Amino acid sequence: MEDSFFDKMPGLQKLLETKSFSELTAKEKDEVLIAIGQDEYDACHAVITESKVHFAKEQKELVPDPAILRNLLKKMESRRSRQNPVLLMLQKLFTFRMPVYQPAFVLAFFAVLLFVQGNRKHETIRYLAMTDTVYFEKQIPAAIPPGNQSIHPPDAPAVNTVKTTSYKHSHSAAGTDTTGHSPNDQYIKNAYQKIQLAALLKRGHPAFDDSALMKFLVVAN
Amino acid sequence: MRFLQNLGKKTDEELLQLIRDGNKEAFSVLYSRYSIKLYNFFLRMLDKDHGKAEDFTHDLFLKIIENPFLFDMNRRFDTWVFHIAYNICKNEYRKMAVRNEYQQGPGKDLPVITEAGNDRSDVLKFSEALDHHLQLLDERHKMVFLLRYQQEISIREIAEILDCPEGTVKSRLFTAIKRLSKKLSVFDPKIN
Repeated sequence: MEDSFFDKMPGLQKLLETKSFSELTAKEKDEVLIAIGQDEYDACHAVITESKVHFAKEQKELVPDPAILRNLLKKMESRRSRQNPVLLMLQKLFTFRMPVYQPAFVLAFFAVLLFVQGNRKHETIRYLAMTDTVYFEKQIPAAIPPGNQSIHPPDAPAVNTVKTTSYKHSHSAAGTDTTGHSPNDQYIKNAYQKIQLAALLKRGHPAFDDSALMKFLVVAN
Repeated sequence: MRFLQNLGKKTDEELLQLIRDGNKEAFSVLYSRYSIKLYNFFLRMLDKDHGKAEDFTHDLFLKIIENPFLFDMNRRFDTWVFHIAYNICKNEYRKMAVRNEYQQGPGKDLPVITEAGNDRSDVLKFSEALDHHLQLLDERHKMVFLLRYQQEISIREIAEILDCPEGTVKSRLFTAIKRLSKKLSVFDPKIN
């Protein structure tokens, strides 16, 4: 139980170290007497003060051996000479200490960043398909039905019937053509482009001039 | 010379920073500050064995030279250095215990201290008695007593050095004081 007196009375240790029992105030004496007796207090105080004086005197009398310091400095020098500067730098780097909260904050920041990045919806780019309906006229030789032969004279040339065909031309907004590449398709495409170019030219579009149109027409045909 | 004077003003932690960079003068200053303290501490802890005290002081400073990066700059240097000293002593006590067990002897013979007379001026006898009874204390109590009254380290720092709660340090200190006061009461005229 007595071992915990310093704990029970935090001031006791300080009083023992600084004052003898006679130097204590009445209030302090009352407090001390709860823990230990007067004789005991004085004995403890004497041991502390005498020991302090004794240790201080002893320390003054001691002289360090200069050979130890010389030896240590020599070792320091030799160690420094054989030390690799890169290794030294790495050592400094890896033994660099910092308060725990700093790396914790950095880690937390990256964790939040990853979380946000992970939850973000990936937007895929979709091109809107624009559909135009192109009408073009194509002259095809009319097939004479057998029943109508009597209507036309036999030397009369075959009447060119105009047939209108509709063609749905799809192209992406980015200008990438998505139509098929069969010869028929190519034909239709060329026709469509011709029409477009002609229309642009009519409107006096600056991007087109005669040479461009001619060039196109040559290529197209 | 002026450089050395400037180094003398630096704190222990700043000096250690310079030692890390290989500054010999900084090491000399740090050595002059702590060599006697550590030597005296080892001397007391190791039953006045001067040879061992010198060796251990040398070893401790060698550790500082070889591993200055192990020191945590957020801590106090004196606490760190005495923590190393404490570990050295603990290892030595362990070795000594094994040696004593092996030899099965009664251990080191201590000089018998006769009771002092009423002459309180007999400081030499008090010193002898203090040395004698300090040696009889077990290492935990001796350690706390020396750190507090020889090295004048605060209770909180002693707790840090010994890696134990402050309450434990206080109770060990009180036990040490009480035991010594009982043994040394012969030198106190008030008790006689």
